[in-house]
Amino acid sequence: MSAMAMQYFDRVDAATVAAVLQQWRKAHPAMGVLALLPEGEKEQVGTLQRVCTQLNVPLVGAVFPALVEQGVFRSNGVWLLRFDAMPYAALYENVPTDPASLTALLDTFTDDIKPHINTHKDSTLFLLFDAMVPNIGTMLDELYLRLANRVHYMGANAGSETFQPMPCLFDGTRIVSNGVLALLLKPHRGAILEHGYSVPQRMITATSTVGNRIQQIDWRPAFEVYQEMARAQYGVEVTRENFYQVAVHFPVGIVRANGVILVRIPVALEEDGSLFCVGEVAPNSMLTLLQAPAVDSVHTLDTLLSGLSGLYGDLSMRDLLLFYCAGRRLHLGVAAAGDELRGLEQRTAGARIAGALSLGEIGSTTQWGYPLFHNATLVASVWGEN
Amino acid sequence: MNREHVMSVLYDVTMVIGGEVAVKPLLTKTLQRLLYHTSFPTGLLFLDIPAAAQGETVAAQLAAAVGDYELGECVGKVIDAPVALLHGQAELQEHSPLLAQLPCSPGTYQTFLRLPIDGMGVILLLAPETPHTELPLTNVFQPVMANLAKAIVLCRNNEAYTAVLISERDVARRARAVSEERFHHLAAAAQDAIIMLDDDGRIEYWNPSAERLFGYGREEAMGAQMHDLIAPASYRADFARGFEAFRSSGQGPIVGKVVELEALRKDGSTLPIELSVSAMHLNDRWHAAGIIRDISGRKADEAALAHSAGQLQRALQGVIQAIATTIEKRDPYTAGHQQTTARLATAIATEMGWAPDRIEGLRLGAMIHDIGKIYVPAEILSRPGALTESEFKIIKAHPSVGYDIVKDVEFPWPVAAMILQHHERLDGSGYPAGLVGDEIIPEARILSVADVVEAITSHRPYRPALGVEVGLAEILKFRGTLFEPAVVDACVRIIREHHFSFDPNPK
Repeated sequence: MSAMAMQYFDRVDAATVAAVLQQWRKAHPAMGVLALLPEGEKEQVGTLQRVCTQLNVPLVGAVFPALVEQGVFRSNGVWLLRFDAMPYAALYENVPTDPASLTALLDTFTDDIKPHINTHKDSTLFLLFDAMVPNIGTMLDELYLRLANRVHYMGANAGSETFQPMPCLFDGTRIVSNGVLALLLKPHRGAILEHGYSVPQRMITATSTVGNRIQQIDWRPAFEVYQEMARAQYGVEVTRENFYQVAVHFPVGIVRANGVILVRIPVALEEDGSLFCVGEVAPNSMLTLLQAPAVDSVHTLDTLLSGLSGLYGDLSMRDLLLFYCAGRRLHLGVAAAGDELRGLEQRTAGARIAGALSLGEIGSTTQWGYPLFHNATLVASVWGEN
Repeated sequence: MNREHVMSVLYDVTMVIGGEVAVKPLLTKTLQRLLYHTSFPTGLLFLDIPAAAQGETVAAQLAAAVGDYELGECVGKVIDAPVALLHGQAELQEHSPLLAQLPCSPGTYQTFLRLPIDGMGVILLLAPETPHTELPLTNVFQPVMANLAKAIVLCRNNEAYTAVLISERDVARRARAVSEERFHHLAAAAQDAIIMLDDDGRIEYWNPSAERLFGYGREEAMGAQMHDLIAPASYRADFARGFEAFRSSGQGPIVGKVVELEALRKDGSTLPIELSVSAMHLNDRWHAAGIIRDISGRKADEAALAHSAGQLQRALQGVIQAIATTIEKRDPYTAGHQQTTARLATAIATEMGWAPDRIEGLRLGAMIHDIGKIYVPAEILSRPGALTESEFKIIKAHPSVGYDIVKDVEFPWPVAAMILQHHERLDGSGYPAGLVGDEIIPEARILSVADVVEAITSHRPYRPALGVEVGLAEILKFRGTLFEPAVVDACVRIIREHHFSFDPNPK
């Protein structure tokens, strides 16, 4: 992919967008576009669809809480990321949760994509989910069973940071909710995911979970424990209104044998007092409550870029795609999160970084690793590959 | 990692293992969980590996694979794998040349972690390079592997048990399907209407004959109240009462019986039916099955037969009357005697409570009981004065002669025996055979009493009428010796109490 394959516009102006697309198409007649929009610009999806339809340019995209543009979070504008040749793309809406319907959807999903996989050894299945889909982990497990190592896996969750339902995935004609947008990037060697959360010495057991809800912690109602901890640690009274802001400081972790924690950030308080997470928590699993976990930003960035360099070589002057977890920004604070972005920019020496604030991330800490659904991470990849 | 962390990992994997009841998901989810925890990208699971034989490879069945598409295609198949890879203790080996012998893209994997499953098989986790871990993976998962071995046995047993249950269920389903098919064929072919009702009296089965018989199609009938549909209004209250009892007990006035009723067609016409009802206890509720036969034809046949029988009986009566008239022409005394005796015998039998049909037989027999006298010369019959011994012998032959005349006529009653025995007496003093007691048929016992009373009471050419009391005195005198007591008593009652008239045309 050539330089300037990613273009940020600080506002969505149809004429400006059309001019860039026309220019791109001269060099790349089979091109397509991935559009990333912040929540504040969600009304502009229609504008993009109209422009792309008029120019006959294939369009896919998603709406996120905010965008990442170089070292800054942006709540306005749009990122247009060019595919030199539009890859296989499929948009599914209303992902079911009952096993039979989900199996049917995944059968369709894999049957549709399989014929497109074999042309390149390195292909990446790039998945953008609506964050309201409650069974992303299950879907990843099933996709890994069906496609295994024929693809690398990367992805992120779109949607509103308020976790209110919102149509957030789109193509040239539709905008859907509760769905998944699948793109098959090739050639592409996947992404690297990192969060830098250290395993805490002290763990608290979540004793009862169902799907993506934690009902009990230490054999007591989950919300009671949260309230006590927030009061003791911060002197803060947790309410339904401030729950998301407080809970990011007490993410749930699933400890893995490799020492890497799988983070789950509770984002809402259910009517029954259970804690709603983005991403499933295995039924009846023993969890840890990461009390104000320490994040080693330097280690995070070093590991992330080391992994990326291992995959793609020298990253300077490359176009990078980055998804930065919204929960991580809340936990670290906007300033520290901005420092991480700038640190990344500095370490990549002239690389352009496009991306979004995401509500959950998909990937692995190593290439060919088992794909997992995470919270609180950075997922980075190279956009375009020669 | 501290002990608590290790425990949480083991707890997590153990919970996954304990949550499965079938082998395939157990193996797959265990592999998924191990990959999840270790960051190895690929897991293989071999079961029932043959003991290490001579040679470098062993043929083993790949029971599960996660993370490698090519190896995943081999699941369920037997593959040749290095003995040194499948056999041995838990081990983490890097840069292993053994992995090159697996049926996957060359050079994909360099590292394997072997986890033996307590004699059941082995798990191999594969990676291009060793994933980072602080745990001694070869030791940490051994307790879990012991549990996995037991879980595999339990799942296999469960699947075998379930397979038996499924097999039995399938056999039962097939048998039921065959049975239902037979029933439907039978019911469809049956000439009789077959109807089944639920415990609310609603039709739940209605065969083609029912459609033909009553005029309602299956769709119209199903779910309808049977009594409203085909029972005449006059029956419905009784049906409703009977069905209420049936609903709770399966019993009812017509259950288990065959009854003749009238039914209603869709066009409003009625037809006679024969209904047999049986009760079925299904799903804790009483259902009724009814077989309904159109008996219009049978009823018509019965009516024709009854008419024909009436004609025949009237013809028979006419013949007997003709015989009696013939006798009358020759011997008016005998003729009048037979008619009066017949009336008296009929009255006695009625008094004794005999059935009308039997009384009719007695009457006809009495009408011609002296038919044998046709062979007795008229001058002997009508001559006044005492008879000679030879004349009396001729007279005494008349029962046998009469018997010979009618014995070949197929009466529905013992007319010939009545004629033959009407001079027999209980004590054996009668003639022609000297029968005793029950050897004499009941008709003859009545006929003998009526004969004697009429003979004594009426006028004879050889003597005047002696009067009814003399007749009664005669039978009372020999009550129990010559004559049946019950017959004598009945005769006395009808003459004395009911004032039987010997005059055939009383004023």
